[in-house]
Amino acid sequence: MPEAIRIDNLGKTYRGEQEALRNFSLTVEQGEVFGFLGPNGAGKTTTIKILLGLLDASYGSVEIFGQDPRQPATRRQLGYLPEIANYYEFMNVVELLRFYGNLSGLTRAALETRIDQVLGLVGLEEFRRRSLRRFSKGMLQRTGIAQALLHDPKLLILDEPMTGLDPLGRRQLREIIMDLRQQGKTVFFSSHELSETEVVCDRFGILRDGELCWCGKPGEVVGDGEVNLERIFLRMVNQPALAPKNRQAAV
Amino acid sequence: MLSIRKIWAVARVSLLELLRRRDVYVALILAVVLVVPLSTVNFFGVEGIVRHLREVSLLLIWLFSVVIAITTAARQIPGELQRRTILPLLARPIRRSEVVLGKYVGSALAASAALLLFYLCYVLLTGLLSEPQAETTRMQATLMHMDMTMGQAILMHLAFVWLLTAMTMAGSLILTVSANLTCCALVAVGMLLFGEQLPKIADQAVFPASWIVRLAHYVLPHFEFYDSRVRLIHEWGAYDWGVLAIVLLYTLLYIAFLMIFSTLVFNRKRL
Amino acid sequence: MKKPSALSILGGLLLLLAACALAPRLSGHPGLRPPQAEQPELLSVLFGESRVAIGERLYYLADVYYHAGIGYANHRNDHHHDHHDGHHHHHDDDREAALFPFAGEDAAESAAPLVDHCDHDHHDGHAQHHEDSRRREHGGDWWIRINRRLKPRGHRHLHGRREEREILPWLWAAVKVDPKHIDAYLDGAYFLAERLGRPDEGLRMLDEGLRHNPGSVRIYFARGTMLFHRFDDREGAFSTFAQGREAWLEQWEDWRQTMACGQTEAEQPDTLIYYRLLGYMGHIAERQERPEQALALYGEALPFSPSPRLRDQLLARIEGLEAR
Repeated sequence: MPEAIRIDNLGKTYRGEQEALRNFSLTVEQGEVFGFLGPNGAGKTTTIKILLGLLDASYGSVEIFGQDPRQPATRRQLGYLPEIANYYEFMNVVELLRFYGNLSGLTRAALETRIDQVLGLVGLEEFRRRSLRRFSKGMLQRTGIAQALLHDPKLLILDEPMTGLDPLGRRQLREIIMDLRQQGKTVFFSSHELSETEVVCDRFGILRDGELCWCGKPGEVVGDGEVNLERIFLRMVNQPALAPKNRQAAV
Repeated sequence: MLSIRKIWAVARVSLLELLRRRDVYVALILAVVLVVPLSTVNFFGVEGIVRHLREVSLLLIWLFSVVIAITTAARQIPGELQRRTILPLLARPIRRSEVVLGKYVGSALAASAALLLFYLCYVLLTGLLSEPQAETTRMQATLMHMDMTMGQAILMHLAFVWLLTAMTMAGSLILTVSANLTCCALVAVGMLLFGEQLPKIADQAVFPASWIVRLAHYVLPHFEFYDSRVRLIHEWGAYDWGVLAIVLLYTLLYIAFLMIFSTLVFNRKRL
Repeated sequence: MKKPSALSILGGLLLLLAACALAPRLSGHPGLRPPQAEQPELLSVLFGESRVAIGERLYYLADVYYHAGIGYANHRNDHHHDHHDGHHHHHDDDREAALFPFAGEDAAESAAPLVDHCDHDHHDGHAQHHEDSRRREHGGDWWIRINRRLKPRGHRHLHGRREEREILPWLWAAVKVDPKHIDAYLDGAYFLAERLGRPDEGLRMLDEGLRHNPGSVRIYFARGTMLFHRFDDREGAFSTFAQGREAWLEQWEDWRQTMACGQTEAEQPDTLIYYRLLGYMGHIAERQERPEQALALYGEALPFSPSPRLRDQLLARIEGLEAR
């Protein structure tokens, strides 16, 4: 069974800029919830864009379920929640979901059923006809989650999913992720919310300056017995050199 | 293989946007507000004068069609990039070429729908205001305006809108929104006014202006081909179908070129 | 956002009403506006000096309309000036017949000068144009050839009242924008009176033209001919021609004085129109049995004869009167 995500020696250099990603390798197994951490500018969004086939790597390779993500067919198995939840504000949520459902190849009957299901899941049933212009930030984030789940993807890539959500929304999202894990789906998400990450993910990796500097399980002991994720994170992003042992552990 | 369903799904977004934007309705109301009072002006007590109404109405239709086509097409892809809605869109199983085509089809259909609405108002207005012949009723006089020349003129205007939309879409991928709007408006209006005169201007100009004008003559889309106003206003009769077919073929080829160019640029676009 | 209360809406409306009521009073207040000799017209305020160019463009559009939408950039100058000024440079012999009403059988039956000259010159001008067009008809690249097949070509005029009335809006607009546009008044009056069967409207247009252009000899002349031919009002025509004559003599005197001051570039008043004014006046006087007055008018016209043939004809006329 192929891995959900396989990143092999990935590098990305933007024209005229410094390297965004350097020799980055990572594997995420199917059914795993993977937290992708890192300070701003570490290369998280670049990695996600390459995973989505939106950006070409300068070197190295990426596979999603053993396939190239640049092929449209591969993305049929992907659900994506962008960091900034902006949608067509002249639409209502049902029209938006219909649009994304059509792009994902859902049949009309299946689409209507799924729309009802995902709106129920994110708690937006009563706002079906309300224009997205009148949605709050949190409601837009829920809309984003709904569109990402719409076509029942095997892999969900969530970019800062907790942003803009109130405590209730966060709990709901946490429950959705837990539920997805139970269904055997793979979830790959980037976040600044370390406490949330610690609760929901099976494994997490920390990215710094385009390099994966740590990868392991939340309970894993690092170095001098540190088990708190926040402290691990702060230590990793401030530490100049990486422990080779932990870099190996990523793969 | 391109998926028609996906192209149509993207196109519907543009159509929905135009439907819910108020620009078209404002333009339509503005046109009616300008034309209807004009029809009530008394020119030396002589009644039944219609050509000046046709002239003003068609001028407004052309003006608004340029504005609507350019503003609709220029905002499509830059709008997606600016709102960042392009990311969840391209994260779907869709090719970039399908996005470009969908955006183009949507803009062209939206501008065409607005244009047809304008022409419907034009036919009704000029038909109702014209003096019916002795043996015809006012309704028959109105319907008489929908003849072959009118049909061909609408077809030519639609072709103009499709080509202008394609040019604007291509421009939107290489220029900023404001620069693209300005350039496309200048090219459209400039070619409509002077397109036919470019060879003469080139003959009279000195180097390098003569070369630039001649290059413009060969490279820029000949929007003046589509202007049927004189034919309609002054009842010159229908086009020869042969030349109409040539112009439509020219339009399709030019649009195809612009779409291929747009797809190539969009494929390389950094998101 | 909090909705505005009914009281605040009412207050806002009252303030707006008060402002609207105050504005007209303030705009006329001497403290706010210096006294002016004359209130400027709205169009003058809007367009300023550009109204002349706009008026000219609108007048040109009338010509374009007369040719079913086909504009000839230069033909207007050849054609319209010939209509009204009588500056003929070609085919003098052909035109002489119509210069004087009595050159034919009967003044009332003779063609209106405006009409015959119009179409004659007009076709001459276009014949040249079409020759040029024919020369350009072949050759050119694909785009030129396509354009040639797409754009309406050829020389077409509006025919009949139903079509010819279509030029009126542009002439109307031309005189509204530029009330000094004498050609627009003359063409408008001509089309109304001669082509559309509305001489009353034509006369009204000429009167409006005179109001805006007092002393215009061309308008006096057109008004006189219209009264003479269309209304058969010989008294009125004579009086109008006489006013035109007075105006022309004033201009002639001004011109002479200017020349005497050494300004040799000053434009000489049109002698042909003076000759025609006197011709019509003499003819009317002759018909009304005032031979002395007719003789005096013909005698005044004689030095301004535009050609030896017409001079001979006029001499013969004078001799005939003297013999009576």
